[in-house]
Amino acid sequence: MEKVFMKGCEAVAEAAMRAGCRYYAGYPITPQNQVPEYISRKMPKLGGVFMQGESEVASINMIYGAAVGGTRSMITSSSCGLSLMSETIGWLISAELPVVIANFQRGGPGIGDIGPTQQDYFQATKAHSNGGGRMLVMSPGSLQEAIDAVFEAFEKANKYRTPVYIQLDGISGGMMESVMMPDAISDEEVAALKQKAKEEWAVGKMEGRERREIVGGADSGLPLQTLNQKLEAKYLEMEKNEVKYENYLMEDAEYVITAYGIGSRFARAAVNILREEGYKVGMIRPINIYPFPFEAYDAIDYSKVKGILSTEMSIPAQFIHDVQIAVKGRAPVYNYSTSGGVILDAVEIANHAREMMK
Amino acid sequence: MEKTIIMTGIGGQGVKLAGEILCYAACKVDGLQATNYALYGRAKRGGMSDCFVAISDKTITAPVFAKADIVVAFTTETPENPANKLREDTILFMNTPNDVKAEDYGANKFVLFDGQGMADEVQNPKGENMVILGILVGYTNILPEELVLETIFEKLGARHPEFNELNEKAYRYGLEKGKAMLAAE
Repeated sequence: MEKVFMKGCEAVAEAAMRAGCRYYAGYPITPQNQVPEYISRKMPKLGGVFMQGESEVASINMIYGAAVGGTRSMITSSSCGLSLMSETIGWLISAELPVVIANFQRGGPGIGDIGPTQQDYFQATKAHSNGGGRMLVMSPGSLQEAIDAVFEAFEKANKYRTPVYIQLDGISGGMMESVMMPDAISDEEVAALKQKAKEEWAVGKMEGRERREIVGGADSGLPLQTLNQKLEAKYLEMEKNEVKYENYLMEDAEYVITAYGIGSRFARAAVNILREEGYKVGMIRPINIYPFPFEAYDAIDYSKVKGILSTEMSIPAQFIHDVQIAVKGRAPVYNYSTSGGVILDAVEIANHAREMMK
Repeated sequence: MEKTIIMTGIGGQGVKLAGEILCYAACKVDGLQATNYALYGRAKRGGMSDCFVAISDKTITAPVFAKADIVVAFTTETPENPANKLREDTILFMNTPNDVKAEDYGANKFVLFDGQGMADEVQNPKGENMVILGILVGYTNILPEELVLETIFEKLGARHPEFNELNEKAYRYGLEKGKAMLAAE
């Protein structure tokens, strides 16, 4: 472990290689260009592959190919770049391939602009591809959490044989923060991981075993309903094991601010401002946004809590829909959101919370 | 104790670089954390350039903020009036050769200096942001002064060690001026 001051894109890139990623493909798009830039310099020295594809579509299909061979693989992009990759994301889920995908969100819909947002909540959690597949979706709130999420994402991808999605944003990509960077796993460990994948499921030299094909859908050898039931069992397993959230000053809270990812940093600062003024305000922060932490909102003492303010960098607000489902009408849910590169501000969130508390 | 700083200027003045140097220096102190986020116009010299710095002994909450404890205006010509970034207790550092007043910005705490003039005096006309860093550190003592200089050597001297001496002169000149202005209050 070493304390370093790093830019978000570079921290994610460095963490991926330290976690054993040996294949990266991508296509340039702001605000994540420092990820491929950083990896392009370092990956060849590790004996891994950096590929700049001719498009987003080509790049994610390269990831598919690398994962089929059992290599730890990652792709990063931003918003509309992820839209272009949508078809193959569904294929990766269907073929049960362990890859890590990171989205540094920018403006939308469509081309939007390059400003930071949280405008892809539905895309990440509900509509990343056709067919209703699910992925574990992590939403780090700091660069340290982003680094830890990268390591965890590769582990979970292997555990569930699924793509894992890390939902970041233009602020996290461009900001610099002091972090503790974990040590790299050794070359021997990287080789052992690949060997294990080769033995268990990946393609490669057959060495006496049956021929393997890794394809999804009706080509998988299973009737599609049976495959989807198998995938659903995996989603339910993730819903059981991978709920992750943080309660901040919730013990005596009479009002709640809820936010996720980068938005939660401004929400936390707002809670601190309001606490100093004597308001009993707490925060619920989903850390994984799929599976959504419904239990965090069930655990609220609704005899005490009189209102919930949901805040995010998306107009129209999206995260609030899951909050409303979780709250089930037990308290009024209010919204304060920004969009188009307008960054949430703690003082503004506090102002909206005071309105709610009037 | 979380300290927030907004450095605001125009592209080409070294706003982002000055913010990064402060953060790299803060990270050398045991127990201190830092965040830095730069907002700038589209690749155009002279466009808006803001740099948000937070330094704290605890986990930093918001890395971007509309108003800060300290605002350092690298010029009076910023696209957005620095007055918008001030709270009642904000210290506004204003770098300009012109005779502007605290009242012009609604600042209760105001530190006025001519960074370019000072840089010229030490024969380092490109060292304006080193002077600004010196004044900021000298006046606020936000970080150990020698640690900031060491960081300047590391970050700027790696590729251009020939400028270390000039940068040190500009930084130390700012440092003295910052201390003197504080003592004069």
